[in-house]
Amino acid sequence: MRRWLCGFTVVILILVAAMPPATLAFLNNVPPHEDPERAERAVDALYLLALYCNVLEYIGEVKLDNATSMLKLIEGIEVPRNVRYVIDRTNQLLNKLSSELNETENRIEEARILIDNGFYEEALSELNRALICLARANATLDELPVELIQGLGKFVPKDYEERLREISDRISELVDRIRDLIEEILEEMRNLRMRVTGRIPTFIMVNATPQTLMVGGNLTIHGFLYDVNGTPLNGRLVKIFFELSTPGGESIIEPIQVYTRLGGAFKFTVRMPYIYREESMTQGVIVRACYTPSGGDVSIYSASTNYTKILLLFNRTIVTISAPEEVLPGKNVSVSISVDPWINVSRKIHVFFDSRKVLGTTLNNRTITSTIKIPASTGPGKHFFRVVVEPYETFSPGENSTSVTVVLEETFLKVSVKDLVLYPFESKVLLEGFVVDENGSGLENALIRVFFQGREYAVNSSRDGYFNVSFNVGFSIVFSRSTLTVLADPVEPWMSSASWSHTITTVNVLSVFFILSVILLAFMNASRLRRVGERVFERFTWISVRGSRGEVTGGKIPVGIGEATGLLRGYTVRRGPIVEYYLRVVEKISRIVGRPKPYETIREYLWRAKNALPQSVLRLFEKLSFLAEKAIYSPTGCSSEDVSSAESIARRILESDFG
Amino acid sequence: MKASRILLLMAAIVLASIIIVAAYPSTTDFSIYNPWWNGYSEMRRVLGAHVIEFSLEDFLRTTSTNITLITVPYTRFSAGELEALKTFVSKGGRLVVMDDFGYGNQVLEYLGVQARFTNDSMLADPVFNYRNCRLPIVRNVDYPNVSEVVLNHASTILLMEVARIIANSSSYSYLDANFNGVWDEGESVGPFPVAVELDYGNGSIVLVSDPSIGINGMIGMGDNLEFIKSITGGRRVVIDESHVPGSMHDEVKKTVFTVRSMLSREYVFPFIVVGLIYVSLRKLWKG
Repeated sequence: MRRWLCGFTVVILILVAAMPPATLAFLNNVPPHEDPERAERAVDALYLLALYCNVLEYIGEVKLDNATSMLKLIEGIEVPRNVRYVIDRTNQLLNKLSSELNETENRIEEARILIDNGFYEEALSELNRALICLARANATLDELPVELIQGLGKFVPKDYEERLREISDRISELVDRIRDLIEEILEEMRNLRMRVTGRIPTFIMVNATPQTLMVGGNLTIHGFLYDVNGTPLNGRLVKIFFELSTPGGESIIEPIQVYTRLGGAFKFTVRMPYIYREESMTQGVIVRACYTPSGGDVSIYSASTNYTKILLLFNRTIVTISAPEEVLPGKNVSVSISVDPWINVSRKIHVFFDSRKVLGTTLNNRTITSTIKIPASTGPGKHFFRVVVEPYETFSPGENSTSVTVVLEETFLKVSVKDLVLYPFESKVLLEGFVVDENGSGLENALIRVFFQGREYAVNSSRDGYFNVSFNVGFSIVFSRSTLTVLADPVEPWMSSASWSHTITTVNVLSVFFILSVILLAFMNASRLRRVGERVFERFTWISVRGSRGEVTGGKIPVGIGEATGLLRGYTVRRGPIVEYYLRVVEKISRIVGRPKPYETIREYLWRAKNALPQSVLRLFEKLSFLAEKAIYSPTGCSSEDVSSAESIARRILESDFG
Repeated sequence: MKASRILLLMAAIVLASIIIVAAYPSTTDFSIYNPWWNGYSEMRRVLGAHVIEFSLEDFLRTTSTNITLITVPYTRFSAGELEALKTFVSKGGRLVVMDDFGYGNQVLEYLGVQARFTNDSMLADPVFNYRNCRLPIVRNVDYPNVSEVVLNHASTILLMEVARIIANSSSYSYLDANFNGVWDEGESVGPFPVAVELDYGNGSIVLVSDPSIGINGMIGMGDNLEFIKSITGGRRVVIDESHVPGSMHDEVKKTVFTVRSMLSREYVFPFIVVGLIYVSLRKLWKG
């Protein structure tokens, strides 16, 4: 038992030692991931403070939109619950500061426009509101640094105290800058208040003819500039702006400057550019005239502005393109393009396949049909034809696209090859086949590659798509199965690749014959082989393999008496004179003791006989039993003295009358 | 105890061990047999991927190029494998190298691609992240159906040639060179490319600087699954598991499955049946 356990342990240890290492060998010993469900919530407080520095910097530079965006960003950062309150409170203060400064700026701007247009009462009231906002912003700023630094500073690791100090200094510096900004705004407000008092309001009128015109057409602008008393202002510079009537107010041409003439009038003609914007037709173009006092007028007159609106029209170009839904790479397709409205003028068009230009031509009719070759390298899937028509005077540019699906025609492989190869008689195998399209027409020059047992064979198909390859099948001990793969790559770009696989079984006829012969011989000599095996086993394990059913008895000596032969049944024992004497004695005493059981050893039988035999016979039978054991199992065998002693004992027992 | 009984007991122990080993799921990182948070079982199931477990070289030699091969290079590639990869991509195959701290640079170096994984530092993002900076969220993704990808202990890609950048980390991300989770003076700041696509011969190579986006615990986060589907380019997917070092448990499992498949072959199985019949009927045979 102990031997078996030791053997088993050794085998397991060998297996373990032969296994590769159990863990991944990472570079830098960095684990490749952590369980996201168990990942701890952590915050880099230093980085957060650095972000707040950016926010304060934006506020100091009056980039309030940037500051608001940054605060939204910080709000979205995932942080532990105890940090969340600090961040929310800090963001609240900074948002408040930013919005109050923003409102101040807006009100000042509003006041400035009102002053420029002569609405002085309204301007003063706006300036008052701006002042209240600024006061609130100043109050918010006072409580900010304490909240920020005390709140987030405690989440910074102790190793980074120096960095924390630097960031704290930076925050103080930025807060000071915001205070300077508030001072500057106050100064600006004072200046605006100064402008309101003691100026003469001015008025400007502006008209444009025609009110509706096509792009490229001439537009005449005229107007007057005069003061509140109706006095025309001659020789003053007026700026005319042309802006789309959209929220952004995008300028369509550079502003024009013109000086007022006698009677404060100004007039000029300008050619409208070829711009093709939908807004210019639907919402119109604002023509704005602005007067801003300069030089000596600054202290006498106020600024004024006015505007008129025009509609700038153009002809929309509508392009249609039609192409087949499915196309093949490398093949021509017919693409139809039409342009509306059509005038009898050539239009330049460009056709793109995905981003590659495939056609550039001039359109002389409303509709043209062009043949376009699909690039051979195009992969299967959805692709786009896009056509672009260049603008022509009042006709806008046009663009349209249509999708096409690039498909490949299926390639078929018809291959014949043997399923079973009898090695070594059929070691050369011929593979034949055709590579054809879906109509069964052969594909010429297709590259055929055959993979078998780690080797590659390549051929090209003939005119009718025929190919053949002959190859050798490798050695196989008895049976082997190998996968044969045939790949076909047609030269036509519109044909797909095809593959074909098959399993070839190789049977080594010689080995099979040999194995069958061995099995037959083994059957014929089964008992002899078994005896040899038992001896070898006993020699190496010291365990006797015995018993009619092949039991291993673990050191006991089995014995039994054959019913038919009178010999030990089912066991091969060394026959000799001592065993013969023993068996004869057993025949006799079995009448009293009973026949030995198949599982009984010589000693077990002796033990059973002790109670049934008289002492004198028992002593003799005991000696004979030991001699029989020696004769059967001792590697040295028995001496002639043992034989004569056994003969004498057997005779005495057989002659005695104890039954 | 009789020797026959010991043999029987040992056979029973061995059989029970084999059954336990085969039935108990793997816990190896990136293993397709691993159903826990760090395995690839879900990714394989969703993509319907074929898996290479033994020889990448043999597989590439006989496969068609109209596939996407996903590899997680955590062991070195042999010269033969590198050459097979080169041929595969040159002829039109699509190779997806998902690597953070492994041997992806060996592949890139061999292919002559002017890009490298920065596997000496970890991508950290203190602003856009899931729970902590080691799990950055990437929102700048060039796929219309993907709005965010959640990474997990990722590296980045250093580009030295023009390539299509599929995903960039945020401007607030940085490379944590000393892995302390805090930005230190001198550590590079983002944005960094984390997924790029390069043309190579007739094929293409996609580099993703984090293989963990596909593990079971991460594939459902953000749009990770859609992202993985997008990078495969709609082709049939093959996952290379031969460069993921398996645990002893995995190796034993593989061996058990191999032995089982060998034993179930039509040329072996009948012999086993005959053997069992012989053992059972031996008594009758002997008369």
